[in-house]
Amino acid sequence: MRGVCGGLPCAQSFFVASCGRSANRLRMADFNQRADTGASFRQCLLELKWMVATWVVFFAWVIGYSSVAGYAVAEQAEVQMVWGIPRWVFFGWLIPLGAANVFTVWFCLCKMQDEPMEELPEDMP
Amino acid sequence: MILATTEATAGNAALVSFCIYTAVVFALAWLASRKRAGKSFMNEYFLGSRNLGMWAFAFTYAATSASGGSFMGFPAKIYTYGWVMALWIAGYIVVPLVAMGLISKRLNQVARKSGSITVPEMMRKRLGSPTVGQVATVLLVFFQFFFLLAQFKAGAKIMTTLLGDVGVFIAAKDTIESVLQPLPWIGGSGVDGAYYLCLGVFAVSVVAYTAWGGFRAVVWTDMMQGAVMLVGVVILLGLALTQVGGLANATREVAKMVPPEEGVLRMEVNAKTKLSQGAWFKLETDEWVKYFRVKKDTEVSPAKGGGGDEVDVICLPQPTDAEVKAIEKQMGQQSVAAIPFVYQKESDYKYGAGKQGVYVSAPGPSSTEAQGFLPVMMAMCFFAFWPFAGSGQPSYMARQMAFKDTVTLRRSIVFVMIYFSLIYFPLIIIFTCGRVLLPGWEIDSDRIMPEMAMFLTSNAGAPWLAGLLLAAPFAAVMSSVDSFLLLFSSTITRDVYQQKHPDASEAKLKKVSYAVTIIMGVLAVVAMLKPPQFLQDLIVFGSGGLAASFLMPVVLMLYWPRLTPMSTVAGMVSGGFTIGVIYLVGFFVHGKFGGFPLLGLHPFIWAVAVSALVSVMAVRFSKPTDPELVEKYFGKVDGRPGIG
Repeated sequence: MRGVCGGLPCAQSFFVASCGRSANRLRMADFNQRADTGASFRQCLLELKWMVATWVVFFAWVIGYSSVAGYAVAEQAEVQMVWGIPRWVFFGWLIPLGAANVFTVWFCLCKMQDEPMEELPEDMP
Repeated sequence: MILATTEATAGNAALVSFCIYTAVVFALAWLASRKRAGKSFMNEYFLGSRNLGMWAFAFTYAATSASGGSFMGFPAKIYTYGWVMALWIAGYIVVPLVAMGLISKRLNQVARKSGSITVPEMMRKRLGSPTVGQVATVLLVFFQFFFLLAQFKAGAKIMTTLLGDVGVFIAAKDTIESVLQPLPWIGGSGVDGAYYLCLGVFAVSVVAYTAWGGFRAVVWTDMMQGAVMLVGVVILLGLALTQVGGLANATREVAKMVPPEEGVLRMEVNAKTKLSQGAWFKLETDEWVKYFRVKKDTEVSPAKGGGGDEVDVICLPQPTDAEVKAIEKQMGQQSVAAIPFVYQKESDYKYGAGKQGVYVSAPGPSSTEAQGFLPVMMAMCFFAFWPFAGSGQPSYMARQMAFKDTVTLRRSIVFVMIYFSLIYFPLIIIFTCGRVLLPGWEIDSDRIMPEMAMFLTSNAGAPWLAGLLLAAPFAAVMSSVDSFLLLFSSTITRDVYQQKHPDASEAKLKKVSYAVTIIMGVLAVVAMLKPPQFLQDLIVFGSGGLAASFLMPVVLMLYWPRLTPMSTVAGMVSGGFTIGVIYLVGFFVHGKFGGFPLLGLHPFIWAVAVSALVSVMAVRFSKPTDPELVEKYFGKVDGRPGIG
C-alpha cells in the first residue's frame, strides 16, 4: 500500500525525522487497519478547531499591529525601514508570515494525524 | 532603432517559448490519455483515480489558486497602491494551512466513502437528497462561469502582449481585421484583430488539451505551469532589485511619490497627428517640472473653433528625481514632434492627492474612495476572505478529493506554504521597484507585468528571457481555465447527464464529457467577443458567489451531523442570493457593477454570515437526515452518531 524507508513505513520515518519523536507517541494511524469513521471524524474536528484558532491568532496580530502602526505613518515621506521594508510591514506582515510558516510546518508534520483512507465503493452515479 | 530591435528579439523569443510551451502541454495531454487506458473512465478522467502524490497535489492546488489575477491584477494593484498591498494579501500567511487543511482531510474521506466525483454529488449522497445536488449544480455552473469568462479574456490579453511584435502574428492580425471589419456586432473600424486571434488560439488549445487529457493532464500541466511561475518570479526579483539599486532605495523613492492627477492636454496642431498610448510630454519652469502621459492611442486634429483638440492624460505633478531620470530616458527614445499644449486638470485622487508617504503606508491612495484604498474594516475582511473563500471554491474541493493519503496532504500544505511565500512576497517587492523603474503606468496598470518583464530583460541584455517570464502569467491563466473547464465537464456529466442516464456506457460518458468541455469553451469565447469593462468585478463576483454558496453548507455538511437537506439548500441559496442582492444594491448606488460595502464590510462576509445563520436556523424546521447516512459518515459514539 505504501513504500518503506529503512524498515519504517515512509510516513513514520518522515515523522521521526521531522519531529525527533517516536512515531507511536504521535499516534500514527496504521494504514492497513480499517477506517474508524467516528474516531476519524473527531480527529478532523479537533484539527479544524486548531486551524480556526490559528487564524484568530494571526488575525489579531496582523490586523491589530498594522491598524495601529500602518495607518499611523500615513503621509510621512520619511519612512522607517527594516531591510528595505517599511517597519510596519516588517513587523505586521513579514514576521507573522515567518511565524505562520514555522507553525504550519510544526502543525503539519507533528500535530496533524494520518488516517487510513476509505476503500472506494463500486461506482454509482 | 535599437529599441525596435530589442522588442523584436523579445517578441521572437516569446513566440519560441510559446510554441515550446504549447508542445509540452499537448505532449502531457497525450501521455495522460494513454495512462487512462484500462481504468474507470469517470474516476480517472475527473479525479486521476484519486492517486495524486505530494508534488502533483501541491502544484495543482497552488497553480489553480494562482490565476491570472495573481500575475496581472495583483501586480497592477501593487503598482497602483504601494506597500499597503502587503496588508491586503496578508490573509495568505494562513491560506495554506486554513484553506487546504480546514476541510481537505474530511472532504477526501467523505468523497471516498460516498464514491463521489463532484462536489454536488458528494453533497447529494451525504444528505440523501437529489434536490441538494441539483441546487448545488445550478449554483456552481452559474457562478463558476463568471470566473471562467474573466480568465479567457486575461489569456487572450497576455497572448496579445506576448506576441505583439512578431511578424507572423502581425500579418495574421491584419488578415483577421480585414475579414471581421464588414461583420455586424464585432466588426467596424475599431476591430481588434489581435485580441480575436489570441482568444481563438487560447480557447482552442486549452479546450483541446483539457478534453483530451482530463484531470491527469490538467494536473501535470499545472505542475509545469507552477514551476514556470516560480522560476519567472525568482528571475524577475533578482533583475528588479539589481536594476533599482536595492530594496531600501526603492522604498525610499516610493515614499517620496505622490499620486498622479487626471486631466487633458489641449493641443493645437496644423495637421492630423497620431499620439501613441504612453507618449510623454513635459511642462517646466525654473521652479518645477510636470510630466504628462497619454492614456490611449489618440488622433489629434486641427481644432475648428480654436482652443485645441483634447488628449486624455495623467499628470505627475511632483516627480521625484528617480521618476525624472526614468521618464527622461523614455522621452529620449520616443519620436513625438513638439506640440504646443495647455494642461487642464480634471480630477485628483480622493485620498492621497499631493501627499508624500501614501505609497508606503495604509490605507493607500485611492482615486475613488475618500477613506483610501484599504480602510481597516476592509483589511479585516480580506484577512478572512483569502483563507475562507479559498476553502469554499469547488475547483479546489475537486483537488482535495484527489490526493491519495493524508501524508500527501500534510506535506503538500508545507510545500504550498513555501511556494506562496516565494511567489507573493517577491511580487510585492518586484512591483514596488516597478514604480521607480517604470513611472506613469497608471494609464494601463494591467500591463505592468509584461512591461516589467520586457524592460528588465532588455536592460539586462537578455531580451530572449522575456519569453520565459511572460510565460508565467500565461501559465497562471491556463492552469485556472483548464481546472474550471474540467469542473463544468464533471458536474454536468455526473450530476446532470448520468442522473438521467444511470446506465450510460463509458463510451457515451466520454463523448458527453468532451462535448461539455467544448461547448463551455465555445460559450466563453462567444461571451468574450465583446468583453465587458468590469471584468475584475466579475471575478470577485464569481469567486465570492461560489464561496458564499458553498463554504458554510460544505463545512457544516462535513462536520455537523444534524445538518438536514433542506437547511443545506437554504444555506446555499441564501448565500448566493445575498451576494446577488449586494451587487444589485451596488449597481443602483454606484451606477456600475460592483459590491456595496454595507457598514464597510466586504459582501463576502455578509453572504457567508447569512448562509451560516440560515443553514443553522433551517435545521429546526426541517426533516432530519436519514440516521443511517449520519452513522455512515460520522460513525457512532456511545450509541449516538458522531458527536452530534
